[in-house]
Amino acid sequence: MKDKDYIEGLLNKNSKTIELIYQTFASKIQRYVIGKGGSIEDAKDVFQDALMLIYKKSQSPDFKLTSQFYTYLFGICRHLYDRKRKKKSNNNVTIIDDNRFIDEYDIENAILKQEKHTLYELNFQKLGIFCQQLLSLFYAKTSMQEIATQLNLKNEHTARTRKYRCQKKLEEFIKSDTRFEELL
Amino acid sequence: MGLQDRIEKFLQHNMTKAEEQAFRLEMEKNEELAQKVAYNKELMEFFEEREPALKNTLNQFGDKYFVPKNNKLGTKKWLIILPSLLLVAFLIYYLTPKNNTTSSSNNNTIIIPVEKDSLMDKPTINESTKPISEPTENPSNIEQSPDSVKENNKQIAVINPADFRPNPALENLIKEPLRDDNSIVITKPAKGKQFDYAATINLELQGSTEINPPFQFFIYSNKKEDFYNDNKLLNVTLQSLNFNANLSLNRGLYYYIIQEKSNEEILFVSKFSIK
Repeated sequence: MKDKDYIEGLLNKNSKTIELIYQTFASKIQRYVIGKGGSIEDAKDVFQDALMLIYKKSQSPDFKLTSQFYTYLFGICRHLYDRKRKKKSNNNVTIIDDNRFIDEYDIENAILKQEKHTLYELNFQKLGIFCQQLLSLFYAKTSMQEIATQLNLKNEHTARTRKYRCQKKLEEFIKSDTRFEELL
Repeated sequence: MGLQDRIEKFLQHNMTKAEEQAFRLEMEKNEELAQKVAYNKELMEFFEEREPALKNTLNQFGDKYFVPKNNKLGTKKWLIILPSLLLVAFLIYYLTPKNNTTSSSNNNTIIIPVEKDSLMDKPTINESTKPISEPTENPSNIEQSPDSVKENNKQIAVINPADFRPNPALENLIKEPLRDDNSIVITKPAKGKQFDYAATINLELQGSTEINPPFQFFIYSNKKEDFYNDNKLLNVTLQSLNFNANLSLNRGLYYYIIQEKSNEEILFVSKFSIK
């Protein structure tokens, strides 16, 4: 499979291509992370975050893969893991700028954004199913009337009040998460 | 209209020009409001890009492909292996002459390059960071001196069973198929080579690969803490998979790692021991 096929498959969420990416590269990243003293779980998280990041970057019309797919993937995984490791040891996190992957793709902000999104996702999962459904509908730009109907709420006003509560709860979870401060 | 509604109206570009202008002015004066807007903006982006189905797919493949690689022995096997190891350690301890009085498993490493007129006369490993020229007989080219080499320490001959205890993390790395395409072949030292103890042992690395140099060649002791703290006994950069040096090491188990310098990918891990 060619490098651009990996990107295309990921962009189209093609599960065969995604599985092939895991099959081909997961063990190498696992080896790298374990070699640096990390765990299998660390390796899995880093790999998943890196693929999400590549997926998002590749949605941009300006995106162009100028190295091998594995080189790009490895560069991102390496930086994600370095940040993770430094956070664990309570050091200040700075992204090393001597790396050609960073220079080429300017992924620094993308990494930070991806980390924030991971944090939001973890805290979103802490909400009850009702709040998860309501917020998903709201942020998918569903009208309050439609939300009230879909979730069997009395009226639009009730839907709006419940939405505030769910937003407030999510904000509490996120802002009380110790990792939130680190990402500011 | 509540504050949250106003923030959402602003972020969804549903304000009139006048409303938007007033809101921007308010944000400039009110830092707390600006922070709330920034948080809500990020939250909206998060939901827009959330992709729960994709994350679920990645998670499933993650569970399938990120697995321990045959690194767990069953308890029953340990019941057989552990007493055997203890017996071997006991025999080694009592059959070895004890004519040294001090023991330090960490501070006794001296790296001595092969002497002049021999294979490598120039790798003054413990000297500086200057690039070292290649000896004509040997294609290896050491660019960097080791991180630290401790000289003038005395040789220790006391056997310590802890010096032969396998390092689980490195053993796991040895078991893994490091390069699936077999593009690196190491012919020397032989797998698990056992050296007889001497003041110095001659370690010769020989191999071939399709991968582009430079490589890094590290030696670690068997100690977990040395590996996790990255305390290398030897750290050299190689331009080819040929290296030859006389090493002054204690009796014990040692691991070596060869990695690609450009991306730090581990290419090969093996071990040797000195008994």
